[in-house]
Amino acid sequence: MKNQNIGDLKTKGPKKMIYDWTLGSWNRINWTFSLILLAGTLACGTLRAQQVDDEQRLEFFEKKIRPIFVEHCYNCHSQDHKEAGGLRVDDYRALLDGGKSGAAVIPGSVDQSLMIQRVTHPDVKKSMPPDGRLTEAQINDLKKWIEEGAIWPKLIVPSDIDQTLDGQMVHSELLASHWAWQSISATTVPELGNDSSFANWPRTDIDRFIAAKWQQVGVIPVRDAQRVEILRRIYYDLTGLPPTDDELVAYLFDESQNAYEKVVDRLLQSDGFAERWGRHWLDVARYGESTGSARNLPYPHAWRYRDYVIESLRKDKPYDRFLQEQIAGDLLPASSIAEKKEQLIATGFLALGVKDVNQRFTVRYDMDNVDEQIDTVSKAVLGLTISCARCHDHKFDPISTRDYYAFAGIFASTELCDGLRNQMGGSGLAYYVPNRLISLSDTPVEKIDEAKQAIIDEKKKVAEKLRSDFIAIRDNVKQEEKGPEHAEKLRKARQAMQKAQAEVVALTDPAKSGPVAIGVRDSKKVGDTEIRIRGEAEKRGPTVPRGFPTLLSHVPAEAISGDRSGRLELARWLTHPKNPISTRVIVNRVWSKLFARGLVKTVDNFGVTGDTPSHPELLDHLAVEFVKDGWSIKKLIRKIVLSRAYQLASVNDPNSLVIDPENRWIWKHSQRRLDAEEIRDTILAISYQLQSGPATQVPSHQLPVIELPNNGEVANGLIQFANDSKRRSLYLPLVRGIVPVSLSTFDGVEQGMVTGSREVTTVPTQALFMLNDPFVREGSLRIAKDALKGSGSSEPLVSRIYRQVLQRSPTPQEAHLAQSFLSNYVKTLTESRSELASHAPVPVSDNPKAVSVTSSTVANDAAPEDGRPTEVLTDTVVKQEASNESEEALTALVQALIASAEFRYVP
Amino acid sequence: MIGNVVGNEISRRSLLRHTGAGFGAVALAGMLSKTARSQQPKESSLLHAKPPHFNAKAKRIIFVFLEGAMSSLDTWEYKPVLQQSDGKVGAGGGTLVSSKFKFQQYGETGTWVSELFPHAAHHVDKLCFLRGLHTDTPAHPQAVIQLHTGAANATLVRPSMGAWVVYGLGTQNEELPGFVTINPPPNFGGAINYGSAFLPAHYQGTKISDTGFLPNLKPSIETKVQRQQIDLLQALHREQAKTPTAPDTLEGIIQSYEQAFTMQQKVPDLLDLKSEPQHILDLYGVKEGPEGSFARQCLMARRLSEAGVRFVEICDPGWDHHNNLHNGLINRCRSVDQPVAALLQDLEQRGLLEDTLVLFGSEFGRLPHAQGPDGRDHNITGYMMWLAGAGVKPGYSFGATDELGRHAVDGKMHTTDLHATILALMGLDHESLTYPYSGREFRITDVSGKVAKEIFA
Repeated sequence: MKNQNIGDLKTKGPKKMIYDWTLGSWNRINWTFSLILLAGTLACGTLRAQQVDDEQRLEFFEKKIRPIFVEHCYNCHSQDHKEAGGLRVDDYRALLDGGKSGAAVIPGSVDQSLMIQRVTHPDVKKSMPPDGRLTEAQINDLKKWIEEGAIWPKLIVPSDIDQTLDGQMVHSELLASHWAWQSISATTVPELGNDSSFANWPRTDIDRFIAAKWQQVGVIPVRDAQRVEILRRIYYDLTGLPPTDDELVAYLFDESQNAYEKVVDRLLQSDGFAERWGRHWLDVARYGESTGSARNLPYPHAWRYRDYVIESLRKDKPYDRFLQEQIAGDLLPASSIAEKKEQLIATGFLALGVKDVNQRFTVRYDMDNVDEQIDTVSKAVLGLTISCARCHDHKFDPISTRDYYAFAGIFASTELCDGLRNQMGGSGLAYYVPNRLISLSDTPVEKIDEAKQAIIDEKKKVAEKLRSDFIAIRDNVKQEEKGPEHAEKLRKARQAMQKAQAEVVALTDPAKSGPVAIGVRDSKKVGDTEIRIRGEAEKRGPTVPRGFPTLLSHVPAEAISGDRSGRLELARWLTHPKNPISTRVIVNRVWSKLFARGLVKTVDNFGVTGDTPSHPELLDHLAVEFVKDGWSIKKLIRKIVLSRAYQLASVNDPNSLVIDPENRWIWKHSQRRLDAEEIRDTILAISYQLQSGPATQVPSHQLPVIELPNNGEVANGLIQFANDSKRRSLYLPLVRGIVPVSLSTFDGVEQGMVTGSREVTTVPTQALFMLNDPFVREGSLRIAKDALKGSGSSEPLVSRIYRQVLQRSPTPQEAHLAQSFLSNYVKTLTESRSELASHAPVPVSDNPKAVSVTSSTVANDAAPEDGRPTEVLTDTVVKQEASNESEEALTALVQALIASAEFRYVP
Repeated sequence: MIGNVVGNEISRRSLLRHTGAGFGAVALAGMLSKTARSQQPKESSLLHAKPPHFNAKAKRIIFVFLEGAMSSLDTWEYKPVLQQSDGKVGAGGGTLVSSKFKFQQYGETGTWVSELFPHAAHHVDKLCFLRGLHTDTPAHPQAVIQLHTGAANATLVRPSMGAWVVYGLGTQNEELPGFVTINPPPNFGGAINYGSAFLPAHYQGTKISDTGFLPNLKPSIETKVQRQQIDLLQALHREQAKTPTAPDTLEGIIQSYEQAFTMQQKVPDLLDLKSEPQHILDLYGVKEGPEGSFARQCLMARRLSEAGVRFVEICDPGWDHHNNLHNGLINRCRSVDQPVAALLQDLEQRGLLEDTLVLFGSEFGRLPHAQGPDGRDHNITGYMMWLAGAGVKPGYSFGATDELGRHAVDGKMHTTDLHATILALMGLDHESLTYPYSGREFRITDVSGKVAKEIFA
């Protein structure tokens, strides 16, 4: 879609646009004049009569009408307070649209304007303002204002919302020059002449690209990795788990030419692969099982999306299809019911973001969610920060505010089916809207007949009554009546209200009668949306046709017809083979997971402020091949890991290190710190505890959609479940803000944003985890016990432990250190215990269970009134203890190996 | 306790000497040139103390957060006109209600304080009032998040104030976390309020309960044998350092274990209030149970600050008086008044107030209008907080609300201005304290923020 002019919005230099609400048109005027208008000063007589009239009316509004609103209405109907009854009086559109009772102001129609009806209402209970009447003069002023067209101050449209100037992009140069959005042309694999020192080095095309750079920059590749190293590397990179001892031995003894290739192919087909690479995508998809943010409400059905991602990786679903399903799965044709369901679940991608359900103003809630979706899609798929253009043109990239709202129109025409609505304050299930969920039942949802509807209506009435009872008890209490008795009364009233709410929900909730998912569907009303001035949702500028960012106008796009949201067109545009960014971004993401850094280091940002590719030709080569290979992630990975470059050793070379300390030119393999998940999963795996697949009953999937504080019974239950679980980490409850220590300690993923690469930090809390956490202790103990069981074996104990934990044998020096550690440890322990025995016994640990006396729900909008009960917190229990000193010593040895730097690095 | 590791060739002392000299670096010295080293961000260096952007007195800060929005008009904000307007219809609709608490003047400055803060009122001459504050959202969840992270849009997860400060200044004591938050709200953004968002996880706040609990701090085995275990671990690390496959972060990992071992001993001691003399415990009013929560927090805050923790936040919830304003305020103030006064006095008598900044207040204020028979609704257009200590003018008031205490009219400070000012008091320029994320430089004040230089001593 090429630049389209929006009316005469296009401006130059000092000119600004003013949108005239009353006339519904745009006027171009000189900015000096706009200042005069703004100041409300009467302009001189050279103006047209119409303008004079307008300005008189504007002055009338400012002098007579706005003060009435400010004085009598703002406390309940304005930006700084709330929108009682859904109405605001400080926003013109809101006045015209009105609140729950209908349009407040109909310009020109005094009698039909609800505002006039309410300020003149004879019934004091219904009249506004609630605490007194407006004067006769004030009412007449309001009538006059409406009669004369309800004129409202004009909106200044800043000039920095549309980078087009006379049809040309301001950044036309950038548009033509920045590498990321240029079309991909066929690349040629570099030839390394016979005289090249690396002529015989390359094994694959990837190697040729890499080696060609060495020649230019003067680095020399290190040796190839040893077999033990490479096996550990490929296992971790493809599955997130180490090889078992048997697998290691089998590989070492496999002398066939393609032994490595066979391992790669086997791993690509394994569950572990789908889980590991599924997790990578969940990082990008900012996966989380709750809204996070100001009020944390669960998404109990989000896990279906997680499983969808894992299954898609397992099946090697073509990436273009994978994206299309996540963005427009509901709109894609399906060949079976199963496929239809899968596609519906896929749209969870758009629904599971961070949301502020406590947002008072629906228009802001909607636009914030649109922004969240734009941010996620643009970063995840395009490596672009389109969200920057929400308030003004992008400062660095050629993305205009107009581009943003063209994009926003697509998402604004899309309805979130996350089971939630926004409102300011609310207790219990107040935020839950069951009909905003996607039913996955095989049978169509039971039609609600009259009889059932009557029951629902009756229950609703009861719930409503109980709610007002509750509020009455809460608010109409005399000072002297307060106390435990009143508190108990209030508690009972709250319980009764919540029970009644739950009964209504139970009758209408599809989640009670069958499987449901969260996702999106097209809104009932689809259409273009307006530019919002400075990103403020209420300040509507000109409408922009739905479309895609101009900077990619060379990518063929389908027109979006009036009755469609445009998501399907968007999905196809994103995955068009000629879309150069989508493919570059994904091959770079894959590369970065295998080389510890991307060819473009800033994996989520391919814009002007991002990194430039170290090997642009290689990146394009991979992108082209990727499309040729049917967008297959597995084929791409296979190609990369079979390269010789991937199989370099992770050793240093003094000369190359000076030239290229960051290893940008891949003269060695960069070591990678294990992710939080890999560390936890490995400990489970090597201690024989890991169970495959997800658990069947997971508490985060059963949560009622009630606000979830991060302490209290429910949160503690989730943490306890995670602590006890023997499943892989991506199957743990991943409610935002309630993350188990085993995942948060090692730079766990920040679930609030697209995260293509994780932080790696080294801090003492990690050391404390390794030294003291019951999870590490228990794993170590199990390994120690198992090693002792096999003590009949001829292999020394220390050696067996080394192989179990680090997948290698110890060096003689290491074996010696370990051996003397064991004997010293036993000696010290025995001595100190005999010493203790002669004195009073001191327990090594008193391990009471973690308990908390805090309540699990927050009652209403109010902050807790009487402070928080003190949290009684203690460390969790080690469920098993060593049975004697040598077992203890061995456990300590195992634990030291798990704690070692070597354990947490992939060679 | 540790020195007598018989028969072990590496004593802790010699090990520490090695690590102190950067033993990993020594091992790798042949391979890593100086230039190479400086280009690679060294993980362990992220927490080292860093020089401020400009000289400032404040080396650390204690943020006393009253969650739920304290009514300024019943405590620190005396409004004679409001006192005479009881029952009148006020601006914007609603009936004005005067404070039912008696105000009187204190100190040489003659500052008015209500009877709810009898102890703290004696310190008014030390306080620097910000009386013209305003913010964007009159709902706790968003306002709490904005106060802590600067984000007006709660769907945007941004680093917290404490994380920014530690990012800017590092810590003064690497054996302790740089940012500690005690008893933070479990909702209203929860961990976002002390999170690091896109800043490295180093900078996030460490949450401890008001009884001083921190997970995994208790040695899982007797310290004597745990030391042996760590000695083995470090010996294995030394072995690894000799190999060409040693990771670049090895030195940092080695240090992390020494720090952890020290923390295990020092942090519980630090949080153990029993070691304080009785007169100090009495000064704060320390007792067990929920009632003593805030007193314990104040004393822990002093101990943590004294030990060099850069940013300490403590929290007293329960100030959201839509109803039960009268008794509610009496109860809350009774919990807070004596301890916070003791904190000021104790910091001063130890000379800590010289280089410690104290910030006291809520996410917003409350209206001069009545809500129900005994309550006040939220007010984001004008409210107060106070500062004390390093770098601020003592006994000073900056800004003001109108005569009814509704709108800030003078010395207006938005939440971003507050952030800019706090950073400046710590020696940090809010416009320079940036971090690259998502293709641009981010800062806590985003695109605004004005430092209230008027309050600088």
